[in-house]
Amino acid sequence: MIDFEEQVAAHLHARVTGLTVEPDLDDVVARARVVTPAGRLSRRVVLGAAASLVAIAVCGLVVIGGRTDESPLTFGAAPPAGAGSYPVIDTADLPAELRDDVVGEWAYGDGYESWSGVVGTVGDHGPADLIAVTVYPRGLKYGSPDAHRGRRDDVMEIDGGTTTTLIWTVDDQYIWMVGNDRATMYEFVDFVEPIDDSPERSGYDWTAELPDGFTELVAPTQSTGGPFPRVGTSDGRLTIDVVAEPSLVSFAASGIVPTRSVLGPPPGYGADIGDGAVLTLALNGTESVLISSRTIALDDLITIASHIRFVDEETWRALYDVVFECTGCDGTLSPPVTPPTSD
Amino acid sequence: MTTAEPQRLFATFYRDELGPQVRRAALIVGSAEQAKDIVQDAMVEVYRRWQTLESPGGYLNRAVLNGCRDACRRRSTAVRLLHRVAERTPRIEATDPLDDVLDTLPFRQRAAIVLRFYAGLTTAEIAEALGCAPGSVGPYIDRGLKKMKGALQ
Repeated sequence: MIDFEEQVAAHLHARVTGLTVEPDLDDVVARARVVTPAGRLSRRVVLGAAASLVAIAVCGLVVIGGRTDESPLTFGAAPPAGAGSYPVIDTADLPAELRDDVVGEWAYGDGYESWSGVVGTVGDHGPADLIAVTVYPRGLKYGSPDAHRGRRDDVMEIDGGTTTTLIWTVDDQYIWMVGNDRATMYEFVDFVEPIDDSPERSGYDWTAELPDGFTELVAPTQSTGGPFPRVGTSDGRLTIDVVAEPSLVSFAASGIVPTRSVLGPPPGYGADIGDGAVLTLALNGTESVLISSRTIALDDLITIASHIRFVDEETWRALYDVVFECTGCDGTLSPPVTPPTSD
Repeated sequence: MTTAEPQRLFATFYRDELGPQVRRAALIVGSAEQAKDIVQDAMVEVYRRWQTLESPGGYLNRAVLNGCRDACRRRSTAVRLLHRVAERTPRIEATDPLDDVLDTLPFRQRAAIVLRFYAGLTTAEIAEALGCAPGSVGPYIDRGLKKMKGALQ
């Protein structure tokens, strides 16, 4: 990698070596004295913004087939799977703060006749900078929606950490699963660290329940297995799995922890720390986690997901980077032989 | 300090920073003209706050990065929705497959790589410029390099 880093560095320098810049200090001084917002905008920015607005408006019509305010598409009016229809995010109607960074990488077909996509950012609302959406034909929905909660194999894997937990039934044909994705361990730590889980704040010292020698460790370890971190939405909250040090696997296996309370599966200790945030020390099979929850951005997730439209393949390919397609199949859509199991 | 003194100091700052900032911004946004506008806009903001800024360089880094981010967002939307519009913005010449790969990276990864391997910024400086935790910089760079390397193979 070192050689490659040197190659990248050399390339970057070479790429802009010939770039000359004419200083214009007078322009800076003159514009700094202009206090009106318009005065702060360069002509290029104004023209660029105008062009972008036109582009967005025009494309909104292209993407959704000439939709107008007078003839809005019914939400969830998705054509049947396998009919040459592909999902897109209709960014034209998205609020500006959600429209930015809608990257729209879609993956089609994972053996369950679904589309998975990374479609947007949650920006300042949380540590995950992107949202994963999976669109399933309704016919492939097994059990209750909760049965899918946290199924990592139901969503596209990116950088080893992913959780999709919000199951959203759209209509009779599709269910959409929406969750946060792509949160790195570091982003995860950044988010968790400020959470005040002190006894003073929560009124409940859950850490006192830890055996001697165990301390909360925000940074995930690999000792509990599986990809870390896990971040997802659950019941309108962001849930984060935090491990303790040493691994709570042994803690759980020893049977020390009784089921104190249940905040949905898995059982564990829970403490409401206010502001919609709940801390749960949970046991989940061979894994033990602390789940910190707080209310964030569910509306934003839904807003983005609700702007999924379906277009033909040609339009779809023109708009998005297809990250992978129909792995393990020949392009013929067929139901899975074995229904996915819940865990 | 007289009125002329801060202006003289800013003039020196402007002269020293303009070229490097434009070049790194050009690498990030892929457009020399756009980079010049972004940096010039950022310089205006620095000038306005010149006498109150503790670290003009750090502020400028952030302002330029924010400008780059906004530009990339605008372009991203346009690119995704209408390729024709995106091509209206002149691009710095791409002469190497690395250029194409770099352009496909998410903003933070691309910016972190440029700031590290072109500008030579430290992890702390990159984190400040990007508005993220220092611990996030390494993963941005690693993931970006990994994608670049993978795309070239």
